[in-house]
Amino acid sequence: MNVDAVSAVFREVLEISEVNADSDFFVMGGDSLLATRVLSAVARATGVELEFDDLLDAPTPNALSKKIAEAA
Amino acid sequence: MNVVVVGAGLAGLTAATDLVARGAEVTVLEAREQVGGRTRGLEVEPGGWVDAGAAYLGERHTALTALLAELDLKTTPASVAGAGRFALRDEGRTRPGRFPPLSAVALGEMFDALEEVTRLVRPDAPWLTQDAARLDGVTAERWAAEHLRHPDARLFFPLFLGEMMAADPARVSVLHMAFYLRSGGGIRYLNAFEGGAQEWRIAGGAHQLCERLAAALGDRVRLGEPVRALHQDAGGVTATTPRGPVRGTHAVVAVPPVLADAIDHRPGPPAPRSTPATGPGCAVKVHLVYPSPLWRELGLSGWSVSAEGPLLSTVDDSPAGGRAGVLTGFVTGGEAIRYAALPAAEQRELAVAQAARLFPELPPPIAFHLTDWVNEPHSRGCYAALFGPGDWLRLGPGLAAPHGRVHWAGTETSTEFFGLMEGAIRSGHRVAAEITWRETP
Amino acid sequence: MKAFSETVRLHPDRPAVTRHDRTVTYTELDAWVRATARRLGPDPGVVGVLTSRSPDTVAALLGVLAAGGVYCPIDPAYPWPRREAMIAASGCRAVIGEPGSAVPPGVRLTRLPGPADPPAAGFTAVAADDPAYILFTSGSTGEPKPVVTPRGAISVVTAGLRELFGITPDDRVLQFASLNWDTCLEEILPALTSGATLVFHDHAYSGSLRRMLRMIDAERITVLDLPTAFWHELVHHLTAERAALPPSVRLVVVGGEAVNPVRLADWRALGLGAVRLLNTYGCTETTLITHAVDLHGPHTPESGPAGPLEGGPDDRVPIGRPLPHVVERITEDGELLVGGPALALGYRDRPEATAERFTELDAAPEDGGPGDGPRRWFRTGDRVSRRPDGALLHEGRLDHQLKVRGVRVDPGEVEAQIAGHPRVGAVAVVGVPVAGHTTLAAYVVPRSPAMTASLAGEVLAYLREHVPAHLVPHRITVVPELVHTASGKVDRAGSHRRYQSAAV
Repeated sequence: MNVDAVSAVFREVLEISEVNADSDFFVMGGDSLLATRVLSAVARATGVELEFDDLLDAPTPNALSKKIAEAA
Repeated sequence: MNVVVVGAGLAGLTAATDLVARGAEVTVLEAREQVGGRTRGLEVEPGGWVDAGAAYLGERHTALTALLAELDLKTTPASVAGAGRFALRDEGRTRPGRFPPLSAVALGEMFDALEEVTRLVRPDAPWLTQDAARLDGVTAERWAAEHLRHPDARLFFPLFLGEMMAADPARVSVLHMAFYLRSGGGIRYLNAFEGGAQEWRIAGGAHQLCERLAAALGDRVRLGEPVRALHQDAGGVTATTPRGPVRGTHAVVAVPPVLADAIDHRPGPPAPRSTPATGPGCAVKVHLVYPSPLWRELGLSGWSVSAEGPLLSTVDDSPAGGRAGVLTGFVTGGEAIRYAALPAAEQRELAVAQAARLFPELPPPIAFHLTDWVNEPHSRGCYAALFGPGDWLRLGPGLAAPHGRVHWAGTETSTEFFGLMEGAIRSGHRVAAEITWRETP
Repeated sequence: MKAFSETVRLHPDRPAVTRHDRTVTYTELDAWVRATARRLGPDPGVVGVLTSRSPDTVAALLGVLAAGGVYCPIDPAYPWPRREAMIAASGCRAVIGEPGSAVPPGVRLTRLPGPADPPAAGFTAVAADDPAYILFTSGSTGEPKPVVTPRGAISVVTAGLRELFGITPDDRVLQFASLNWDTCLEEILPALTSGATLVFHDHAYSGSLRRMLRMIDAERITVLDLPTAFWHELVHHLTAERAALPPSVRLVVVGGEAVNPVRLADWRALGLGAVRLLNTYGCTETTLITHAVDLHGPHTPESGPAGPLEGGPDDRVPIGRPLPHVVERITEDGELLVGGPALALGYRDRPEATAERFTELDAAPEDGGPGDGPRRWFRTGDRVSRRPDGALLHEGRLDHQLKVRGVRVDPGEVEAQIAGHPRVGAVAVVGVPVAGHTTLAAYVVPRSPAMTASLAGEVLAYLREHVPAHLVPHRITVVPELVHTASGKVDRAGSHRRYQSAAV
């Protein structure tokens, strides 16, 4: 899942438009509930099932995209 | 204008206050020997109060925050950081924050499904939702069986619904679930502490809202006077209590639907306010008092979630500025009904034993308090009445529609923030405006 | 002031300022301004003005400028330590306010004269690089930074905004912005140099949109200049309540935060084709507005100048293109630099802070500048990108600065203030969006773990006594420790991530 696709998921879940590759999901208003919805969207798109802590470690589209690639 | 208000909870007292401000004569008749309805204070140490009933609020609760400002009450942040304890698939796991040790993807799929059904509902008039008949005919339990596949989602779903709306999934319709979540601001807002509906508590306790409103109303508020009958005629309404009749030009009924139906209305309203499917909000609140918030020194937040009851979750509710530590345990949903039926000694034993399993580091509590809202005769449930299958289609259109000179208030008549203090206050403002508007030439 | 005098000559009997039933004509306002100038005496230096939502503040502003002084607004609602610090940092020698207002020793408290008091004969002559006003902006050290704006900047910008807004003597401009920030000058200066009327009304600030819309209708307001966050609420109200924008309104100016494309789409669906919607951008250091773009209305052809906006949630709304008096350039890291005659002189008595943000660079040929040697630039700290049609898109900040309800806030300033509490050991402040606007969240580590219980409340009470409301965090969470980066610095976002919590 590339950075743009992850950014699009962030936008949809956070319901905001100002997301770029280095936007921190939690600083942009994400919380643990919304985090699960990012992870379910990632799983739907890629089959990769990440844990909540993975998003804590990789909270930006850039970092999360790398993490998905590593896990795939 | 001379208005009889039935019920001295937030809705009734808000309506009474508004009406007095507009020049009406008002009498508030309250069945209990105290005001407050589903807000109630519990003094756990001298000057240290906790909420035995409604407790939390957030920024979007604008009517409540405005009322706090008027009454000169302050808020206090609801959360303290630290690790949580989880007894879900195994005994006592400690994790930072509040996120349970379950599959995040499974929970995400559950929230996706909830979000989808929540979006379907028409929040101002759920009974007019497209496909309302289908959604109102199915229980949340059946919906979950169809939509949730992962065992972690199935495990968590009833806990979530218990926490959010004190509901047993087997006894509410999908339409009611979706409406409740939507009405409260959506699943994210309703669920969140920071930035959500649990952002603050009221410093000194939520019960002060009604106490202060009642104090300003003075002897207009009459305690220990349950209204048995409301009879309308061409000139007005007569409310009958064991102490005799009270006459008014209008009445406001500000009690939960099941209790509103228990009043002898003449003429009878065109539709009932509850049905046999309408259930009580299933909540029992337990307070375990410790000499101080000992868990904080251990890096724990006091937050816990358990798959098995009675305490499905606990939270640190220690009074701000006080000495005592208070863990509030929530017993909700079907568990609340089972637990509420037990003898008092057994209730205490079960709760203390569970706290000891969850937090083996802690000494036994120095005090134990239990508030059973399920069987509370003058509330009949808490947070709010639960609409079972078929209820919304039958009851929805009449929930807030005046019946002659009788007007309806209470959090169950508010499509905004239904079930919360905010909904009650908004309903009080709405009903006062309704009556004033009718009286304006 | 020349432009104002000229307006007085052209429109002597037109209403200049109104509030409820009270109207001040241009001739009367001129007399009032001269009386104020006379009260202050020539060259009064920096004059603090304790603002009030009334024409008085306009008379004080123009009076200070007419006397050759430097205007410095001070919000009387600010806690005293803050006001005292502002008066000291700006070098105020006199303060205009109600008798009995608190001022530090050695500062003269003057009352605003009435409109009928004896006027000064003429205005004190000034040069273009003489300072006109001082406004404060958030600094990372805990002290606000006084921005000094020269006379020349306000003349050129006022003329530019008259043109941009197309203000005529028939306009009635609502005074809405706080009088303690620069946005209010966008309302005051173009109106009062065009013969238009500036309308004060208490219902503009009551918090009720319904009441405000009724007032706009009754007062026949034509121009609204709103913080973007407020405009978002207005759009929501108009859409959800099916309320109408009064037909008198011809121009709505927004600025301060990113325009939400969903709200813009909602606005466009309201059938307000006759109302011009203008998005604007600017910094205090570059004087009011430097960039603008038409988003909707009669000036917006289908495909520009904003360019086509699809209205989908992913289509970000541009902040615009430079106004004629502005030169811009974008550095390699995407930072927007602004140059031209509207730049502030710098931060008063802060040469290092000034050198850090105001920089001299050779003008590149593509700047369209004269190319004759180095030019002074202001580093905005905003990262931008350029759309194919030339309009700029905001991409975020290079530093940690935030916009809280349209006001620039450096989290470092809030952290420094909180660290001043004796029981606080460490603190991190981060901006978090809640319900569409940015709020501040503070994570506080107590000096001793025994003190956790009441610390959040104490810090809150302490801040309320020391800083303005926009610097008080929305929530304060007491935590055992902060998260640090590998290099040992406090990781604000990391601390937030660790302690953010939903009930899940």
